[in-house]
Amino acid sequence: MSDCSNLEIREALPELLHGRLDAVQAAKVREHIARCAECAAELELLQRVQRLYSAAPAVNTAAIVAALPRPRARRTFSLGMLRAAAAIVLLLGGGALIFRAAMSGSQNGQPNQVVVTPQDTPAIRRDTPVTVERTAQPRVFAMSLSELDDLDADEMESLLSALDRIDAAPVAEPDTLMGSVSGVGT
Amino acid sequence: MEAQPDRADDRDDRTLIERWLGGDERAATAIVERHATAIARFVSTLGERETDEVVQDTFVRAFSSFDSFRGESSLRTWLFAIARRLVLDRRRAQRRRPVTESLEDVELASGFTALDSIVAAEAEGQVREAVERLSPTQREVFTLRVAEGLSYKEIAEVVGTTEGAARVHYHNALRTIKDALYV
Repeated sequence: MSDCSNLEIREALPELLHGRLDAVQAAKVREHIARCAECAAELELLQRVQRLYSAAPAVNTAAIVAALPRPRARRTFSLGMLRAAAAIVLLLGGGALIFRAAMSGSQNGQPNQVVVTPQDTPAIRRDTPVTVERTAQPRVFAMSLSELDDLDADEMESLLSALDRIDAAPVAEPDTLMGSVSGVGT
Repeated sequence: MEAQPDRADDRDDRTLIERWLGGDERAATAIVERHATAIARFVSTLGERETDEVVQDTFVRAFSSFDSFRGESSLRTWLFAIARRLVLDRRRAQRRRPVTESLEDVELASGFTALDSIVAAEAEGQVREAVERLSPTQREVFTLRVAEGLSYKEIAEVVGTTEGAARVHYHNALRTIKDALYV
């Protein structure tokens, strides 16, 4: 059996066999096959080979699935968890600030006064403490977690005990989805 | 003439992998059902008798490595490549192992395959004989192209060669089979 000289068509025969040509390409190939005995015979041979190997050994998909490793669920954070995390940060910061202010006031024996050491005002000497009166108005504090470094061991322990009593922390690991497998191997 | 790649299938596979990585075990069943038969067919064309075992090992390896699957090739091509490596590893191991198989074992094993009912027909038997006379690489490339419908690029990824070499193997195999059947 000789080969057709149209290599483009011959290359397309396995693609036609597996339906991987678009409608225009498939029509072009079929049109060629209709008037080319070599390509018609080659396609017939390929179909025989395909039939020969189409009978695959039976596969037990249920047994395969049962042998697979379990998925390692990725850690995802829900909006609720992020809110809880933000609340903890605020509690840590706010608690530390309040604790520090309270400690500072009791040490000076002047509970109505807060001692502030100026750092950003060049006109005031850094070693000159400034005393300001407490006001009855609530104040908004901005602080960073690095200020926790200023707490001594007792202060830190007291703060941590207070935090332990807060029941707002999310579980560390989300529950793994363990949906039932239905229709396996059927 | 360029064949149209099955991009929808690839997308579905990626979605299923993502679902499984996210903890959805039902996605595993879907992935296995989509590809197990094709892998079994491919493994049997490589002459492997323990098809079930190789197919299962292929999926176990794949699922253990999905984290590193970059999707540069299709999932099926990747699975074929894993299956092929496993078959080659088993052959190497068998070569090192002393032969303890009795004739009875061989007869029982070879008495099994579902292909037997097909090759009973004389014409099909002739085709099979012609395919089996090909060199291992030619047979592998030819069956991947004709039985599985893989492109030369995909075949090159599975076999570990170039597209050009895969094309040459395919045409040489076809010529050899034609000569065997029609001379």
